[in-house]
Amino acid sequence: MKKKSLRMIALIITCMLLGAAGSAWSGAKVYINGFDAAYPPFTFIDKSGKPAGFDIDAVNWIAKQMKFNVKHQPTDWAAIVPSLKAGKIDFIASGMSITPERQAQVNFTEPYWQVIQLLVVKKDANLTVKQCLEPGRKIGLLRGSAESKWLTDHMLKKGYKFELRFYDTTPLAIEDVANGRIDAAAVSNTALKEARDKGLPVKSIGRYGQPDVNYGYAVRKEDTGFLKTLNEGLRKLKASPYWQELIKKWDMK
Amino acid sequence: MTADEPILVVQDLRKRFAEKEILRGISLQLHRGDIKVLIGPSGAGKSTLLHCINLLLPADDGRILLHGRDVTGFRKRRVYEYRQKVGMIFQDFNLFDHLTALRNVMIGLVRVKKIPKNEARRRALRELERVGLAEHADQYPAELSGGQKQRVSIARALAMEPEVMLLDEPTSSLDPELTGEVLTVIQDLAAAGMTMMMATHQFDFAESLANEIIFMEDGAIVEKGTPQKMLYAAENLRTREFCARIHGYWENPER
Amino acid sequence: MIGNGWKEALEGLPYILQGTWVTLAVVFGALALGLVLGLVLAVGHVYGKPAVRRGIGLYVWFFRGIPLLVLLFLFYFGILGALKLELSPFVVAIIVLGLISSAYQSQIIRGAIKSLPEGQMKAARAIGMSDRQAIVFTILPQALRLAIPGWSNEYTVILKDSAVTYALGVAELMTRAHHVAARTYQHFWLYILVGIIFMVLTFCGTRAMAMIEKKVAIKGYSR
Repeated sequence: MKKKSLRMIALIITCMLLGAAGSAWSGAKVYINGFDAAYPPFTFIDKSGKPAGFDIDAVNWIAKQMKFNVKHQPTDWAAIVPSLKAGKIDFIASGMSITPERQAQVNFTEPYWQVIQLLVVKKDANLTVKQCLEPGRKIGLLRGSAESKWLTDHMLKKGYKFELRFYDTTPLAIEDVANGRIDAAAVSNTALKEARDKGLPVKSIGRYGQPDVNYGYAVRKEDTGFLKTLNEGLRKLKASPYWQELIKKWDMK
Repeated sequence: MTADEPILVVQDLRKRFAEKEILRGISLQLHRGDIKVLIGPSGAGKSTLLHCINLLLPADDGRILLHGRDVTGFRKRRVYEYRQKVGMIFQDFNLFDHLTALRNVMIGLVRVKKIPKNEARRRALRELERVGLAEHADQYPAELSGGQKQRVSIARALAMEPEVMLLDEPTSSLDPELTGEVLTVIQDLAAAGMTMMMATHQFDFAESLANEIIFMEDGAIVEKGTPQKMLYAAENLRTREFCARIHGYWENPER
Repeated sequence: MIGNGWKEALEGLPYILQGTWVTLAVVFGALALGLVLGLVLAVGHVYGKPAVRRGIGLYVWFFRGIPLLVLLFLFYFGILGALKLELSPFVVAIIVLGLISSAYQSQIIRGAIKSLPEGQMKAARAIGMSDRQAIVFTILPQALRLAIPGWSNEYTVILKDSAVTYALGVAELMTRAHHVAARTYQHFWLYILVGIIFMVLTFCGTRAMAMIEKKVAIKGYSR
């Protein structure tokens, strides 16, 4: 192995590093939306590989109205708040629940959608919510989700002894219910609808105790100006006919 | 430099490994054209002495002088230059296994002497011819016999144009039928006037070639003298005992 | 959930395959970084002063001992956040995987160097080479050839480790499979697909290594 090829490799690596670092500095300010690419209908990746969903369309409309550049970046949900705080992304518009714990870390826009938190079980299972919360039962959910925090704080810490199983995406949790590996999954009604539309043999057995949740966009605490912009944009959107169009398009009712 | 000034002088050289003293005050001289042979039992310190002269091992005490200059304290660049002038041949050949015979000889010329590749190739081929291996130039060490490997290593050392050659038991690792070709090459070198110090067990060779034989035991020089004297009429009892024990290796005319 | 969903899974194949380039870039970037660094570390570990060797020992112990995921997050959020460096997840993945690989590769190369006879270094010195020249022109060419089988193994390990980098959002194979699975719910077929792609990549890589090993082999060289 000649020294020349070693030098070449080192050169290539240096160029790659410089290029990657450089691309972060170039161009006008683009606001990056960190989104969960596995949360249809709010945010997901479509057939052609582009970001798509209710939130994506809404944000694109708002960005045009309020005249700022936006880019959507798939981000691992468990790391999404740290990513926001570290400056890797600038806001989160991705079916994000407004919770008191999160409000301590970030600021939210006013709520734009409400979902019901349910327990989902296999279609032919004869389980009640009460039974699912018994010791030995396994409940699956998204790692880093608001559900996981709520269930931990309001149930596990209060003496309930069911087991929580964490998944990297919401669909994976629901999939495992269909597989029979876990007893139930704690997800939103929209996630359940998506699964049933795809033919999964699952059903809801109702709320498990978490109050209905509001979704909002999250920004860093210090970005008060941007928060104002987003709120104004949201107000405009809800008042425009495009809002109803979106609800119809994504079958949200 | 006048003919009677020594090229290489070793003064009271001492070396210890851990608690054991391997060299206990060795002193000797090499004049131009000298061929001195070191003999002695294993562990006498012959190999260590040669490695110290070449600065491959640092001595603990004593001096080494090349043309009157003390090289003992040399560091880095001056050591590297010194080692070009004092070449060394090893018992295990130590050819560079990833290079052909030709490139083994060339590498010192190209990398150390910074000679352009074409000129280096020319000189390397000439050295290989000198040891009779020109047609094996493109073979790798793994393809060569022991005797051929040792001859290449001699060519490699010669390419650096040394003033003195140190040979550490050059034929001890060879099958008997292969020692002849190496000894022939060494003989030719001697005839051409190369100054050499060689540790060996090849006593008849030593007898025919050396102008002095040095007997070492336990890190000290016991006795030195002409081959005739040393091998047949040594003064020291230890010397006579050693030579008596090796009588079986060669024909001994009546004492 | 097996059934006929494989058709839908295949539809997502182009999007997933784009991730192959990302995966390969991460893998080769990490391997290259690992080699360059590993080489320096190996030489330091074998020929350096005691303090240097201890330091390298610590480095190796650190990067071999901490789980990949922990290191990824440590670098992405912790260290780079503190240094206020704007590096993409892709670059961070290469750096972290590269540093880990350098720890392993340094040991592979160190082992190869130590397996060479002491006489090689002696002979190089005897013809007047400096230690640096001796290492570069006689030790390393041989040690690197001996290290190729270990390199082949490194490739398969890093290839599999690259799947973990999805946690930083690197758009490689695993990440993209997740995305398509979320939309289509064809988890079964999709992860089989990804598994096949990984197997193909492993096969091609190890074959390439074997070809390289043959090409640089010295006649009759064996240790």
